[in-house]
Amino acid sequence: MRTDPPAVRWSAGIYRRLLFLYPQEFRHRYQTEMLRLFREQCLAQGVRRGVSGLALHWLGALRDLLINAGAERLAARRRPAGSVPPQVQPLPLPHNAGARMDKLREDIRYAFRTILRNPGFAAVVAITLGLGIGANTAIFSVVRGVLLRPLPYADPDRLAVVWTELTARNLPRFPVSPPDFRDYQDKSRLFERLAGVVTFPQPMTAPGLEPEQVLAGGVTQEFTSVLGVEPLLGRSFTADDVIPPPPGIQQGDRDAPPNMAMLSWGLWQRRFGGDPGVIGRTTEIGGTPTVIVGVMPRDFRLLAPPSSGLGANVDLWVALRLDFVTMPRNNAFLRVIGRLRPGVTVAQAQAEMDGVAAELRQINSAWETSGYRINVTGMHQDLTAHVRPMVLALL
Amino acid sequence: MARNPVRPPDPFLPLTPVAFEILLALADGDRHGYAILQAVDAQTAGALRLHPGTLYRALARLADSHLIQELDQQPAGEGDDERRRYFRLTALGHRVAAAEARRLETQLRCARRRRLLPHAGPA
Repeated sequence: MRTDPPAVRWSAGIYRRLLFLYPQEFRHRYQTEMLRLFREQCLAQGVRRGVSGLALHWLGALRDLLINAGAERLAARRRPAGSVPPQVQPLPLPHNAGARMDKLREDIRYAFRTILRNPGFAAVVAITLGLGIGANTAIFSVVRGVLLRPLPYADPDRLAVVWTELTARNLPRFPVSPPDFRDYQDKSRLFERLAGVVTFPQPMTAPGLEPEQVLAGGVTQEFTSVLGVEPLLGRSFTADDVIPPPPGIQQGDRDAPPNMAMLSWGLWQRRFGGDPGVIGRTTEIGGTPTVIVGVMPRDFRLLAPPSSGLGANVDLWVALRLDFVTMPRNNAFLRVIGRLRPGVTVAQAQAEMDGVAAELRQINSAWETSGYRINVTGMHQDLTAHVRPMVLALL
Repeated sequence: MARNPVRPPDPFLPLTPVAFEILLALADGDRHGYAILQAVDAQTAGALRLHPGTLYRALARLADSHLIQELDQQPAGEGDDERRRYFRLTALGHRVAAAEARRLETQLRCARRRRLLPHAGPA
């Protein structure tokens, strides 16, 4: 004997109980058949479309149950004892709107009388309806929140994520080296701007403050303009903030220029008490003097999928002083986001970056042997790709 | 056989889409509920998907109106499961289905004359 999958067994058990919504006479006549048919439909939908098929089938079955059980109960009430059930005839067309309204009023009165006479049945219908509507609302809220809500940035449809892929090494999301990033910027015509990001934990120390481990976000100068966000206080990064140290001097050396940073709203409140005078103060991040030049808005966050390796709650944003010329191309650590020019599609940008990848494969033999590719994805799609199938399955 | 062999089909018209599809499904032969459902699904190319409540309420009405009849025994050759309830189109049901088809055909011709639909090409 074949054993049904658990989901089908449970569904059939629940449906069998729900069949009590039908009048007794109808139930005795067809209950077994209806239950069998429901089970067969569950099996067919489950095999064909998986959990989403079963969920969809349930929604349809609940609607069917409520409509038909209610109609059958009303018909059973109206039918005089011992009479033959109504025949399959169309309802006569109403002669005028007044007649329609009279009929409607009569139906409403009858419905209320039926509810009062059968409070148990009415309660079951109300609870079932409530559960159905509640479940639908909850599922749609998730879909709306995750899949439909736009990203919290200016003109979010133009934002894209640029990934590199090393196909021969099966690394679909490899970071980008600073020289490659500079080539992206120089060779691309369809991106208005590109920015590089990396996050790393660092100790933060400042006079009069307890040392604290913070999550720093190292960014290139274009970061805020790509996302279309302005600091709440102070200023964004300028070209001077990202000039690399002179040759022979490492960032963090005594003669090196200080780093520039923008605080997150959370760190500004927590460590500096929301003091507007924080702008211009110097702190030390990872042992490097760092000047605070701005504070980001309260709700600003960099949204990135888990596969990006970027931390979710960045405490402060530091302008990276990168030497795009001398750094090796194999030293890859940046994640890249970009803002497409108006009217440019992701597919067009992808085609352009395919050409850039071909050039970089010729420049760097390591990229040639590892099957270097550049993949462009819409930022919203990239963020929701890993949850989209699960969320859609709930529908 | 039909209980009302001389009863005219007109009082039953127009049929509801569900009733008509069920009668069409049974025109090929006796079927049980799930087979009717599959036949309706196939003949409407998935446009009309029936759930148990709609199907068995319609079957009950059709049986009460003597357009179909429930069989006491399963048809010969259907040895898979004797607990299934089978349905058969009655002679009255056949006439009603044919009358409904003619009615729809008349409407279709009218729609073509008024250029709501293209004229049917050669078969």
